[in-house]
Amino acid sequence: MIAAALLIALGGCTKTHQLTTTMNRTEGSQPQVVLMPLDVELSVLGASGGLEPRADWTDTAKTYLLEAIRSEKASKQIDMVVFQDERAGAAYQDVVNQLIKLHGVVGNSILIHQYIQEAALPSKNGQFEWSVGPSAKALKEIYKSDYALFVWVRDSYSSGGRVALMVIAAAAGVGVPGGQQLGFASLVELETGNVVWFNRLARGTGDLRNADGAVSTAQYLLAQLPK
Amino acid sequence: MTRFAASLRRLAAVAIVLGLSACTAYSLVPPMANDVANFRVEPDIAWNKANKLRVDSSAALASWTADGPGLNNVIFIGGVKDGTPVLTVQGDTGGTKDALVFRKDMSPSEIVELWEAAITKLNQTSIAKASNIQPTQFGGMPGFKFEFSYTNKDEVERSGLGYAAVKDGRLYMIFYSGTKLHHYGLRLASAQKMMETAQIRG
Amino acid sequence: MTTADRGRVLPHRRGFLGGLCSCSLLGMAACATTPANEPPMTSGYKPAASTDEGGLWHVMNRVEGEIKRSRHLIRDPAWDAYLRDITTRLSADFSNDMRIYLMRTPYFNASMAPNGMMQVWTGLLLRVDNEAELAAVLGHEMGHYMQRHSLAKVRDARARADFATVLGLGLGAAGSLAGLAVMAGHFSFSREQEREADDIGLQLMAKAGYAPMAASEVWQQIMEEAKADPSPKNDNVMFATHPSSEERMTTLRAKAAETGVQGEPYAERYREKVRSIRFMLLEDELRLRQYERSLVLLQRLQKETPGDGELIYFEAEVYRLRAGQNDAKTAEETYERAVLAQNAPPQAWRSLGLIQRRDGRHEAAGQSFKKYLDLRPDAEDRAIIASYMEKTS
Repeated sequence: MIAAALLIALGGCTKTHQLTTTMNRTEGSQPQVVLMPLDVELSVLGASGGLEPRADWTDTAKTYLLEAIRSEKASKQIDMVVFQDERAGAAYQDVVNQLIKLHGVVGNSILIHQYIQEAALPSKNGQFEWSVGPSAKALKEIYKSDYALFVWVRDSYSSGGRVALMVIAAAAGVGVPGGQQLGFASLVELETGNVVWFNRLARGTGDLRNADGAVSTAQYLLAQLPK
Repeated sequence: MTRFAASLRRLAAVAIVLGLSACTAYSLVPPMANDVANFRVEPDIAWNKANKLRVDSSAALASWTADGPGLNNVIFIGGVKDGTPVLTVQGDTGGTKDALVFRKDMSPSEIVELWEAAITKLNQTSIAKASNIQPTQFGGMPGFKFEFSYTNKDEVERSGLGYAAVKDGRLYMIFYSGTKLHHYGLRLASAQKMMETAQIRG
Repeated sequence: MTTADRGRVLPHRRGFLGGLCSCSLLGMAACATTPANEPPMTSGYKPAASTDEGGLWHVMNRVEGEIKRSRHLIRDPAWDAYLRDITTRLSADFSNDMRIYLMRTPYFNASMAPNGMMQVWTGLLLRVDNEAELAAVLGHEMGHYMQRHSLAKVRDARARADFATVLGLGLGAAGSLAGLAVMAGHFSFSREQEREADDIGLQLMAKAGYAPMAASEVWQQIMEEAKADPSPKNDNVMFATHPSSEERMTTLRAKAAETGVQGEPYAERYREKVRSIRFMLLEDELRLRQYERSLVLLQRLQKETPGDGELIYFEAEVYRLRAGQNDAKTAEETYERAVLAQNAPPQAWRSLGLIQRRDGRHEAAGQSFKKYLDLRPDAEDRAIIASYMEKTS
């Protein structure tokens, strides 16, 4: 059922690793996807050129992005349920927390080792092989979903408002000229925990502090999501 | 590619004990006999050797990863000299040096204690614990092995396995660690086999 | 990091609190410690989402979500109940609006966020002598909360376009040293705000029957520990965020006397509570390898409970780990005292054995190790200890 084809979409501001173009589903129904908590952080570029996270902007961005993702998925005909802390219950709480954190590490590892040639892991030989492991089944149990969708975005703006190309920086807070809005969307197959689709977004425009900006980011992120 | 140097630096926080400096490259370690940091080992899978480390030691050092340093990692510490710190972080002036000193008369229990303190300091975590210390042959001499568990700032729990021995007054250790949920177990068999059959060539 | 609301206060209490706004005592035109034009906070209060206070709460709610997931969070119903009992005694109304999180971090810290999230770090539990001192710290933080000091700071910072302060709220990861720098820089309240929080804390303590004098004692301790720590990077978060001074201590002592309440320290009750996790906390402390600081701590703890074998053991451990010039000898003597004392942990025999072994006294070491294994048959390091004994026989 899985069309296993390694496709790397080129061009534009997204770059996709696509191990599958279709999602598993039970006969006659839509694929079930649980949307995991959005990992978003917006920062302000201070006068000194340093970056500092802005909790209020982050909060706004998350709200808009969630809304935008919801409308995106509606157009893609998938059944999406939003992650809720309380649903895990005592038995699964720990595993689910670790899965979320672990995916953060895996996602960042992909950004570095899969997308940056200098940081590639030669043993992988160009293959796309990333996983959070079969513990992901816990999410399948809880949400009755076959997949989990993770979204991660980092962006920064000058304190006067976003004018031109913005700056992305690491926790070190160093401003890099000509920076970007950096993000990824990752689709995890819950039976195995394998990342079956990964889309990296990198661009210099778009303001996540307003609804339109969030909509365009969501569109980019979810472009070519398996059907 | 330099625009992602910034995101690389962010990842420094994700790496476990031995971090990466920006734009670190990896070299392929093929599955065959390898000389590394005063050891000779024979991995049965391919690994990736970090070309730049951000820690120092009087010992020869090396760091390998199979799936990415945030996910699993093997550290080779080949011969810490008596009276020197087991590891120091480059650029750290904050008293790490005195606190992590290896002494050749240390018992395995004390060396493991030292390792707990090292992981605690390097990862700025308060939750680091060794367990199940057992005598075993290592590098062709009487040594010991131990299991490990820790959680650092990224809140991901990691498991570890170490093999060590003191030879001619110097400490030799190989320590494998990885995410408890998946990546530790993923390469454990290969890592353990490699550590069990390692030779010390220092 | 903390906000406070005047709350639905009973008439007699309003009298207390109304007179305590120290800025009015200083004759300032407007009370700069609290946000202007704020109605008194009532219990069960939730700000409107569209207000800046609402935004602040929203942000802190997200931070709280992270803390709930943290592996540094100690999930112990007995401790949760104990801490809640204290806050309820201090203020039943506000206690209902708070959630208390005990974080496994070996540093002295407690804080209250604008949305009612309170953190207590395990390092603090080792550094207060009795329940009254703990209540003093919690009461002080509740004071910041009740007076909405955080909101005042945020508004003030926004007015000054000081984004660093605005952003800093609670974003330092819970229980992590990474957050310390952020906190130390951004969470210091003004001296007036500190005085207000002190005043409120004292009143709450007095009313709850705690000895108000404990407040000056605990802050004195925080100061002393900061002084005793020779490390260049001072990890004393509490000190960094609440700068103390002799003047403050004098004021606290005087005001404690003014309450006219003697109160109780509830020392024994507290010590009994802490004993249940003290071993783990002291292990965490020792892992930091900050010997001077740990010795100050252990010597103070022993003043409170002399002859406690567990404390003597840990003091010996510091000497053993420090391994300076005469430390092995000092450690050995201290272990020997420990094993004779009450509730000495079996590990004291193990450590004694390690010292003897290192010194070449293998027979003595073998006997020590045997005692250890006899006392602790399920020791997780049984195999390696047994191997030491083989070499000695």
